[in-house]
Amino acid sequence: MGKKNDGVVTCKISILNRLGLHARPANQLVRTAAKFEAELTLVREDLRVNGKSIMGVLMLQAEQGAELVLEAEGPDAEELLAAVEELVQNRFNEE
Amino acid sequence: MEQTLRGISASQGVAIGPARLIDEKALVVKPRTIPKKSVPKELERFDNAITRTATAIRKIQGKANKLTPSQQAEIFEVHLSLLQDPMLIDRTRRNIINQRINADYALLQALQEYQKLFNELGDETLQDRLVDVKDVGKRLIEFIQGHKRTNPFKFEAPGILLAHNLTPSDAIHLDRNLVLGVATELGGAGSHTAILTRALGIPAVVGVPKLLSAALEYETVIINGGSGEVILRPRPKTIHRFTLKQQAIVQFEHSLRELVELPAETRDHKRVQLMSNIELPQEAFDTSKCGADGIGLFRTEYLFLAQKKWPSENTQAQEYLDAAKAIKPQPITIRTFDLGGDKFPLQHVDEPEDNPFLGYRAIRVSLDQPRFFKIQLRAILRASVVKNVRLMFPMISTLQELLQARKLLEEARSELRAKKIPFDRRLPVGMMIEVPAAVMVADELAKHVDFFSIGTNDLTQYTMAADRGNQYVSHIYHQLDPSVLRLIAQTVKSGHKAGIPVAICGDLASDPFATIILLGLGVDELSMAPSILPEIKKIIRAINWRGTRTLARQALELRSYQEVQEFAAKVLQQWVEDIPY
Repeated sequence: MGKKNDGVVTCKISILNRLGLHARPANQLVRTAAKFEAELTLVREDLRVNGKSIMGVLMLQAEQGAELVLEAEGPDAEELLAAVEELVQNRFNEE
Repeated sequence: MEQTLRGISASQGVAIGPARLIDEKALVVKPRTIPKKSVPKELERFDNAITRTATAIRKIQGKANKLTPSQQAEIFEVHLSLLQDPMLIDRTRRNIINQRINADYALLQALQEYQKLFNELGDETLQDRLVDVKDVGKRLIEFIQGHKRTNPFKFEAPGILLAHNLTPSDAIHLDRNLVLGVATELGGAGSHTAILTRALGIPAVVGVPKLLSAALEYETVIINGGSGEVILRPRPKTIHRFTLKQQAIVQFEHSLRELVELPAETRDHKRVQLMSNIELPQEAFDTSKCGADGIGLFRTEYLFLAQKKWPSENTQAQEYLDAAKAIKPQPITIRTFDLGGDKFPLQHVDEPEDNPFLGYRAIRVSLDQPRFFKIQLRAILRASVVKNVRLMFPMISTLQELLQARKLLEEARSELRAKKIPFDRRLPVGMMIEVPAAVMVADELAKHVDFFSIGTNDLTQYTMAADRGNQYVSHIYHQLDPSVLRLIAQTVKSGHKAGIPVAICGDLASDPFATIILLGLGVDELSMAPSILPEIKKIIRAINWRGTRTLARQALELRSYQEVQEFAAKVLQQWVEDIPY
């Protein structure tokens, strides 16, 4: 996790689950992000989307192996990133 | 003129009836400028619509949960998230405030904007999601406009529903007494429509191009769910043919339901053990419902999958215990981890293997990591106190592997004994026969186990040297190949000579064409998915066991898979009269 000067916390993740960020994992991701006050932005190449928007997350069309940059800004930004990272690490509990 | 349209088979069965065309009634949304002081009120109208839509979705979700497994009902969770989506909701609110327009039009603008974005970016899966976005959007607009939602599929008389597409919330309203069959222009075998019609038992075909332009309201239409055909304006002869087919299917299904309570016994009273294969402990309950004699294969890999690491002894013991208790007093065969191959490559293998199926997998992984393997063995032993547990090792290739596995099991036993933890001292221990090498030395192996279970999927793959997932060699991969049959025959012979039973737990056990031959070869137990079990039981109850031996001998002499398949089909037709294949 890296901290930029402007208070934005960032980290890099790659999508591990086989089906990628399809509806169910995308839903889990936004529900997790919604629990925090901080704002979350997901970046894939030149596409930036709101991490609390399911439409935005779906738009990334992140398949298995896709690399994303997470940017969080707000009082609980680090906790938010940790929670999302855990979800990704656990492959969204995909079967 | 009779006309046949071809689509994708979504839900089995035949339906004949009048066509009812559902043309999506387009919602009329017109822009209206509102005075500045009305803006807060317009925002409130929008918020109320969100609340009411959420309530409506939760209601549908409850209904869906009862109909289908949670997987399908989860789509409504996505719908609920869409209702809170900042991109959709904030944008609409901004449109209302900035442009001073009515809420429904403001929402429509936001929807269209994202539709455009999705179209530019998206592949087909994303287009599927657009169906969900539109579904939610439509409901929201209806609530903003104050429409009472009339269920568009409420038929006053039975009919066949023909539509461009069904949204999940539309599909959930299908009344199986009035909707005889369904055909849609969009959708695939895994679409909402397919899953729901299957759950409801309504024959359905999806992905039928030009359906709505070719069909006419109230004209007779036939849905053949099995073949994926939709027949418009059928000739009387065609109607007659399908009426007979329909009756045969209904009778067959009815006769299957009657079988649940009856034993899997041939006419001449040979009792066959029919078992089910399961992956999760919860499925143990389905097993008793489908009339199985127990669980012939409980795959344990799911435990590994859930955690991506070796699960603890306590976690495992609890899971095994749950399954054993659920099925008690019937037996349950727990197979130790079958990891590797195509199943989630292990992270501690640094480089991908050239030939994962010939590589580090199943018992090879377990024997390589004895500490973790013994955790599983102890957990299975602990569950064996229920006295119905059997333990099985996957993919044994050599006698040494089997002896090594048995030695670790012995160590696990002593460890439990030292801690005074009880277990079943007579726990039966078996092994899978999946490698031709094991067949060749099955007589030796049989001296060290209590049963064999043949995994025909891997046995076929290794015998034919053909990857079953590879389309270029799929013409070689046949579980009914004479070579595979001969290996099965030899395994049974070696097993029986040593006095141990032989089971089949691969796909061949659930192939109706194989049942008679397998019984003829002397197989004692067949283990399969619970859904196919009644059908196999029906075949067993229709045949004479004594007669099967000659047939099996004849099958072993055939020269090709095609010959075996033809022979098996002929025998099945002769012996089981009302089977609708």
